[in-house]
Amino acid sequence: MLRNYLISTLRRLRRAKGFTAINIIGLSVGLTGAVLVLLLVQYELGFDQHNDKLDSLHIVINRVARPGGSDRHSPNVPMPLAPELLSQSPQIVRSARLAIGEMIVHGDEGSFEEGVIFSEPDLFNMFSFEVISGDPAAALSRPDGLVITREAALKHFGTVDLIGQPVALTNPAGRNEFQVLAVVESPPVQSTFQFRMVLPLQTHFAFARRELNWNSSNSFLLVETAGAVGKYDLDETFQAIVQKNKPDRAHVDAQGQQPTDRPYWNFYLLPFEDLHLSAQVGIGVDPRVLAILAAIAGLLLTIAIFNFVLLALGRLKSRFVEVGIRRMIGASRGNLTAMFLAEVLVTTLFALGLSFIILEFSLPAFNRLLGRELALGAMVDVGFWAAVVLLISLLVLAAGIFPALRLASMRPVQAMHGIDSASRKKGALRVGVIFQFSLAIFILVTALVFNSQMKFVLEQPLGFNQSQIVVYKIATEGEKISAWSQRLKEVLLRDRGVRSVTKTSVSVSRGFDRQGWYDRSKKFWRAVVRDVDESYLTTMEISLLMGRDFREQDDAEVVLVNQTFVDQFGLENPIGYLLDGFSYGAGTDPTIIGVVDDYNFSSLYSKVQPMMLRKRPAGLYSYLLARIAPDDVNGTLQRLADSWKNAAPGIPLTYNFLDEDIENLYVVEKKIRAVTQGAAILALALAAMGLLGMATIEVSRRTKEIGIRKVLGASVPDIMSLLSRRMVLSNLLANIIAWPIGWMVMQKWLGLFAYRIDLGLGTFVMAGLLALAIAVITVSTQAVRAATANPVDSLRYE
Amino acid sequence: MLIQLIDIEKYYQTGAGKTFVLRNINLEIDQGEFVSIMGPSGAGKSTLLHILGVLDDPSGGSYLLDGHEVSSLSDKHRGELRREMIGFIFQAYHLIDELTVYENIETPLLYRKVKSAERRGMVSDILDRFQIVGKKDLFPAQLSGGQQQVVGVARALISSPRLLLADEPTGNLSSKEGETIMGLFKELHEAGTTIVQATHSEANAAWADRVINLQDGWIT
Ligand SMILES: Nc1ncnc2c1ncn2[C@@H]1O[C@H](COP(=O)(O)OP(=O)(O)OP(=O)(O)O)[C@@H](O)[C@H]1O
Ligand SMILES: [Mg+2]
Repeated sequence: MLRNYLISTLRRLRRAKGFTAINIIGLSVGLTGAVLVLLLVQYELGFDQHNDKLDSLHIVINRVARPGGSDRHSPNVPMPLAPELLSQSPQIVRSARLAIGEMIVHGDEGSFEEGVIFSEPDLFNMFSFEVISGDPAAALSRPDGLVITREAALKHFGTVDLIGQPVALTNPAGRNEFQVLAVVESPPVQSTFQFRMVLPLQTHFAFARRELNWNSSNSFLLVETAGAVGKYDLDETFQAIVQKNKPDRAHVDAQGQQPTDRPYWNFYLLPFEDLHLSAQVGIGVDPRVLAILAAIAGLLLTIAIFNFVLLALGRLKSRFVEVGIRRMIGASRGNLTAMFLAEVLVTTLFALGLSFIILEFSLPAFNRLLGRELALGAMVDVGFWAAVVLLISLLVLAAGIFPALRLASMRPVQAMHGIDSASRKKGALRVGVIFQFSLAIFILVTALVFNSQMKFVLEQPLGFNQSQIVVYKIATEGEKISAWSQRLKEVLLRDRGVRSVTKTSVSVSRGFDRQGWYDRSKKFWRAVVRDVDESYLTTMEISLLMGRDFREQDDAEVVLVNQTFVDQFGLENPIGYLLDGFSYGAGTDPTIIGVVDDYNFSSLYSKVQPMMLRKRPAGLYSYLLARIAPDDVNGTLQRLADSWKNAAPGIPLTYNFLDEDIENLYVVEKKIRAVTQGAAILALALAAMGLLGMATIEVSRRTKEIGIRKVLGASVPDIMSLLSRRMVLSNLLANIIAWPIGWMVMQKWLGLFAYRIDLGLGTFVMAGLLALAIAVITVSTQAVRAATANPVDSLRYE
Repeated sequence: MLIQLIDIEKYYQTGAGKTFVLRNINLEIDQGEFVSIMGPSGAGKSTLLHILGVLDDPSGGSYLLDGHEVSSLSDKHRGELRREMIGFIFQAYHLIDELTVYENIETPLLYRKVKSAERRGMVSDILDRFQIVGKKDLFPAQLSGGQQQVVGVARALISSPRLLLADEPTGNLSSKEGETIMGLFKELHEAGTTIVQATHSEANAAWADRVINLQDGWIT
């Protein structure tokens, strides 16, 4: 039986080559997307699974209450929480705090900056990392122990045979000698923790400040529990600890309001396994991104399914006689349903095969785009196949069940005579076409809005001139930074290619430094504070609205603020205003000497916040921003690098362009934009193919009618309009469905941006017109063929 | 008695009202009989055969096949009747275009779930009997009308039906080809198969034991 179905299916597919191609291509594109998402989901789910003790590992999360109910789930907790928790709760058997920082490694190959994690011995007793030599836990229990990965070992020393090797490391607190006591394999790609070196926690430059400080939440706390412990099982213990140590926590938000009547801090245990896909904590992958990708794949599949169903229904008539015959010789309804589903299955399997071929070639590109290492070979396991089988079954049902039931329910005699019992069929077909159009228009709207919003964001005036600015970052130890940054400034200024240079604590997009204080009247102030020098405004081309710029002899007693600062705190006479309370009594409170125009110093998702520019003689000016002449940029950069090497041998210097930095703020958007644009093009191509198929069916069904009309004197344009009329009508109706949905979805997405385009009717009209153009073009190709054919030929067809 | 029709009528609901195709049909056919139905075009011959073949339902009256009331049967039982008891031959042959001669003949056996080895034997036998072994791998489009009808007959007979219904089986054939088919019916009749055929042709009708005349839906 199966063989019989298979054979007749293959022969039928071969005979209707055009339709078969449309179906197989459409389904394979949709399936490629779906399999890709499947691989991606599988990949993301595989995160941290290499840990043997995964079931009992947790990370402590602090749910910080904010007004308006949207809590912030932060993995950063105060350092003294760990010993308290260990002593209060018998369920916690081990813990490891973890902080992230940077160090300069003085290795055999020179000095390089390196991201480092600082942690405690039990990190290696809790998490499974492959040890090459030495004992990592023992290494971290010594004040000068160092754990290094194979990768970093090879980079800095050219060998992994390093046990006992002394290594000099520099951080802002100074230079220290360490000893390599363990070499481990680099963490697997699917590990949340990525490190190249691990140092004892107490060597973190801020450890002494933070160890007992409940006001500084700057390290992660990982715990191992005895047996299964629920997320909120330790609620009371945590509450008691917070009560005891932090009863006076300031419950205020940026606007100086009391947030809620709930406790401000709420700790809980997040199973470590869930960390990677937790949207709330935001350390790993945002499941919403996966959802967007899945939605896109689903959309493509839906279009392919629509094509399939529409083409199948359109050609159903050609199957009537066969169905009648089969009924006559004893086929049951079940037999016929199975037969048609088998046809769909065969088509789908062809499509699946094709999609694997497409994937094989396109995976590298996707991996680059997604920053992942997906592979068909390694990741294809039983679970994968089970998911594929499920997917295919759903697909076959979705695409096949409607036509199959229609066929099977035909009464034998009527089927034989080609009479369609269900006159609703035409209605279903038309509704299907309208739906297909709506999908296409919706996709067009999304792609157009996405595009213009991203363009808008990237071209938004930032309030300063971002081009031709090079960001230099000096990595050296604390007290030396101010000396070295001054030195670098001099070196840069000496070069003929450099127009101006300024020192700053934080580059435009990197870092975030907010401070809050109370003034005498207990009013709460909060602002982003940034250390700059007297060349900042001129170099960045930020305009001064009021007062004066910094002078060389100014110190921290005078500050500049931005317009938002003035507006938000209602300063009527900002110039000369004394910001009392800012220094908490530890120095002189600053006075405002000038107001600058608002400029964007972080992503355009957020509005400009109050900001204060400060000039401190001994500030930590880690960044230098240099505006360079536009001609011979590479030559200038090379010269500068050489002069720095001569001026300060051994002090690493990194640089990049500021506009790159700013663009990097929107990496995810750019990727999503690339994906949506690609998907939109694919979706439209698929929809167009489906419409082409429909037009072919329509024309072939009306061949005789067209012939008669031509004999009666109809012109080619008459025939064309006759055939396109219905398509045009469906298209117009489709707009009614697509526009409101597109409007709502896009309105929601745009709501995420502080700076956004307005949704105009233009986008929608444009999308509608584009879809219409596609429809008219596809229909026309068929209509022209029919309209220009010799009428006698077309009459003879029947 | 194999077939008993009591007051069978068939009408279609049309704009103006009911259009009757069959009226007041009372007919009994015994096991092993060979009956011809004659009448002009549009008289209702095909409609009557479809009702006899459980492919269509009468609008009124009662049809007893082998003693069972057909109208009360489920779709499943009707399928079973068509599979096990009835063979049908059409004027337009109605072979499945995508299947070869062999596969067309084999298909009813598939629906009857006959084992593959047994199936092969049965199909070979019938190919031999109709001398079309050489054509078994051809598609219907590659055969002449007469050859296609031979295949249609072979397909109808593969399940050895007790009742063979033929709707103008020779309508599209040359008189010589028609002759062959009629000879075949004769043989089957002698072997005990009940046959009902619809025809325009006096000559063909004469092969039967009994001729029923149908005029505007009435038996005359
Ligand atoms: N679905 C239908 N709706 C309305 N009338 C129908 C339908 N099917 C058949 N008829 C009518 O039933 C009548 C009998 O048709 P039938 O096919 O049984 O005639 P026939 O005797 O087989 O004719 P022929 O010798 O031409 O094959 C015809 O007048 C036809 O118009
Ligand atoms: Mg007839």
